[in-house]
Amino acid sequence: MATKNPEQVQLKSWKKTSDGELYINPLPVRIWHWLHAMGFVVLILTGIQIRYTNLFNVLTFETAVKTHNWVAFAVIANYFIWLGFYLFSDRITVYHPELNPRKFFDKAFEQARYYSYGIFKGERSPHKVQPYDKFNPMQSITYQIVMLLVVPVQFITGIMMWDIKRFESWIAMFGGIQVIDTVHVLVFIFFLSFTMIHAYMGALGQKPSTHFKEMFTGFEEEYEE
Amino acid sequence: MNTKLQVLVIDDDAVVGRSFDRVLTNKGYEVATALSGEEGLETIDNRDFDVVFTDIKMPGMDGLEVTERIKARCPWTPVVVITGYGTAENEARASVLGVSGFVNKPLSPEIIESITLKAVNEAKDHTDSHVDIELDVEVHTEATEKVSFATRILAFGKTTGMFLATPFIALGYVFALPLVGLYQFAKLAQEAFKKAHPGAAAKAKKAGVRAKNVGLFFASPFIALGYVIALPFVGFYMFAKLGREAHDKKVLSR
Amino acid sequence: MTASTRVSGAMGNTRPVLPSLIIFLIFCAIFNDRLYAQPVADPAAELAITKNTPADLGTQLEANLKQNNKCLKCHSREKIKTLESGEELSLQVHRDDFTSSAHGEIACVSCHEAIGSRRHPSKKTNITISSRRDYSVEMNQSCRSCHDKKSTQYEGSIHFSMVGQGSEKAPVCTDCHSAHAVETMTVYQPETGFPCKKCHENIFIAYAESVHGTARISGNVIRDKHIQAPICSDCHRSHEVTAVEIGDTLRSQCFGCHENVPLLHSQWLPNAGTHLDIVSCAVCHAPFAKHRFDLHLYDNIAQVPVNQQESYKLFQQQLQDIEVGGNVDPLAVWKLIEESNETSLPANISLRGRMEVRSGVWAHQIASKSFAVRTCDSCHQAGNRQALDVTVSVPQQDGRIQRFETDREELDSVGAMKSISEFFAIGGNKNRLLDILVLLSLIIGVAIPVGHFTLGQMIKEKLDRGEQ
Repeated sequence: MATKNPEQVQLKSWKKTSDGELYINPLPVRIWHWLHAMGFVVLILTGIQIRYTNLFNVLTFETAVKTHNWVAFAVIANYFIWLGFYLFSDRITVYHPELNPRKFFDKAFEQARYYSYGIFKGERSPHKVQPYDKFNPMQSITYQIVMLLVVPVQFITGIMMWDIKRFESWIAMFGGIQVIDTVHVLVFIFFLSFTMIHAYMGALGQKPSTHFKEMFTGFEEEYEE
Repeated sequence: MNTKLQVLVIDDDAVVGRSFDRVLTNKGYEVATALSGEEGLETIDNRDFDVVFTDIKMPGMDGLEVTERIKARCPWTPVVVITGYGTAENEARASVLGVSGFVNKPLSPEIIESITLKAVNEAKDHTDSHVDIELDVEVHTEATEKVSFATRILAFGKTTGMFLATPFIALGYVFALPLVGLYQFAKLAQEAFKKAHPGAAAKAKKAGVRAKNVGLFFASPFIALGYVIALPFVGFYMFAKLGREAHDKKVLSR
Repeated sequence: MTASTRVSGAMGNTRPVLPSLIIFLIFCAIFNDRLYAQPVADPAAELAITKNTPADLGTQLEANLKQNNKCLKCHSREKIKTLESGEELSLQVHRDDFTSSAHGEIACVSCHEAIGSRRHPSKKTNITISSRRDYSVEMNQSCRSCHDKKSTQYEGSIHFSMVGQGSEKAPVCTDCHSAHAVETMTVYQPETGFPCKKCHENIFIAYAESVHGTARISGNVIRDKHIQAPICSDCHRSHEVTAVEIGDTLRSQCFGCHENVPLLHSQWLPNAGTHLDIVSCAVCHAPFAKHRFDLHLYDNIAQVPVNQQESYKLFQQQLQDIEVGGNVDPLAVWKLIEESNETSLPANISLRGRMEVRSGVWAHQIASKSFAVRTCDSCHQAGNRQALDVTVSVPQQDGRIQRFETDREELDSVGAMKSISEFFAIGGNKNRLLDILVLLSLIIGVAIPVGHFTLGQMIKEKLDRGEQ
């Protein structure tokens, strides 16, 4: 990566702190991440309440819907912090695809092997976190799809259902409100398990706190043998 | 006695030999090179090697023939075949000949080092059993059949897969064609622009890098989706390959 | 027809024609230039104009009264004719009732043309009338000669098409306006419910207790403000009375007075526009009503609900065929729609859902705003909807709606995604397959972390043992 990116040289200064830590997550990303996380939890919970009024009634349907709508708009606005940051930062490479399939598959399977075996033996992750290459291949494809495809789909279907009348023609184009809702629910179903697994995998750093700390402070601790 | 491990590289392309030489020389190996099969066999006659690498496609004697002759003279010597294109038939034939491994071009220093080490170590492990193989002709033929059956299935899968994938690959090319054309055109225009306004070139380049970055960013989920779809297939292929390797190993070690 | 009747017909017609001609000439003299500017003046149209000219009124009135007196000489007395059906028809016309009616100045023969142009019926001529009803229907034809516009409106009504289908009860003009004591409806006291109450009594009682009815009866005062509360004809229209389920005639009637309804609802109700489209006003504003979820056919090209047009006739017949004991399977309906869209129908039809109250009585029990339902659960809670009727409604040729009961489970099926793709009540309709997936997702979300963690512990243990 280092040879690939000449711009990286001039940014060397913030690459490492005196403690040998790497600056992985800049402030906008951290702000976005935690706002997004909180918003998502609220959206998932209100979403469940909206869909399953017959099972429990923590919130009234009306409150649940209104909360869901308002928080959703906050999450959408927040998404643009993320998008704006990456579009106007040279860290955009974090979300770049690996164009060499061979390299990708090799690294991906290596990573899968690590998570299913190596990690328990105390091996070090085959992917070394770098400011310009933050994600391992499995992470990178997951987040590329989630952030640039699944999340926008959820936003768009959500906005359509927020004002059905205004987006009538669009809804008709996609095959009716039932289809839109089904897509919205399917994505919700995906996010339900995704969020749980995401939180669990967050604890799979060298120490359980490693990645959480990284997401709060922005710095990744140097690996200790 | 020379403590260095002896490596012979047979390849009509001198670059290959040189790169082995460069990678291995300071790491406890001594590398000899030959530019043809005949030359390689001559070299082997004069001294013993711990491992031999041979290219498969060469003018005159091809890599498989070389392997056959080497195996006839000194069956314990591990032979690794270097291929630019691995075809199932070649691999099947080579397996029968008792090749230790394959290595695909292009070769990186890491690959050269690891494959050499692997071949040498495996040869050490199997020194005893090799003698048995040489004598037990019947087992050998049976193994041949088994191997060819397994490889035939794999070969069939591969060709059928390729056949079925063809329209999609073609479609991909069709879609890519205008884009590539556009890119070429843009490149031409850019060069013309560079000539006309030498000062603005740097600026244009910067904008180009940016555009590429953003383009890649937005293309990433689709490429990622492609990977996700391909992942189980590739995984299956890798498993099949591993399985076959294990099977071959078992058969050969009998 | 004999020669003598023809002569008497000509004689009878000369009288009103002569003065009319004179007026016509005067009219021509006055509006000379304007008349010449027009290509050809339609004589009938001219007649219609002269009828209303004040100058003519005196002369005509005099002539009419003179002639009517001749008729009333006998007909003001009680006379009864036995009809073929055995019914008795009173031939009596109360003089005062008639002369003070809106038609008091019109000649009897204007309506009773047959009598005017032929010999008066007698035992000799033996003119027969089959039944009172037939006579009413027949006599109503004469209304058109003056009330052309109203007659046309009436012919678009559900009442008219029911008459055409042979209904004995559906009203003709005289059923509401009476035959001789004709008044414009505005002078009736609508609070008494006349004339609609005659047939629609339950509904009128419901109305009388509603916010509209009580306001109307108490003199149109609500919260010290004078308002014009609606009576039947304000919403249903007086002549082209239609089944309210068709189209959004009724909703636009509500909005006619309550014009800020969309705005008011949008201030608190999410997707207010869609709710107003899909949920009929009474569902929330008649708080005691029971609800029904109705699937109706919608023409996607014309953007209106399918009506009783001829082009849908075949389709409607096919629909009757898939009915089983008053029930239809919405999927079967949808399949039929699919087939018809491909082949015969001129339009692109789909099924659309609509929340309604279960009967017309409830539809009229509109309560004051403070009693309106403001909870979402009644529609958006799957459990609640179990008590809901689901129907498929099909407009009949006579403009009425035929309803088929249907399986409400169908709304939750995967197939509903296609069959009623335009309708969805979040939390109300629930695709069972999606529920299973939600559960599956929860299980995966728990199982993967737990499984991975456990696997890790197991491998670590094994490794530790190996080291020892």
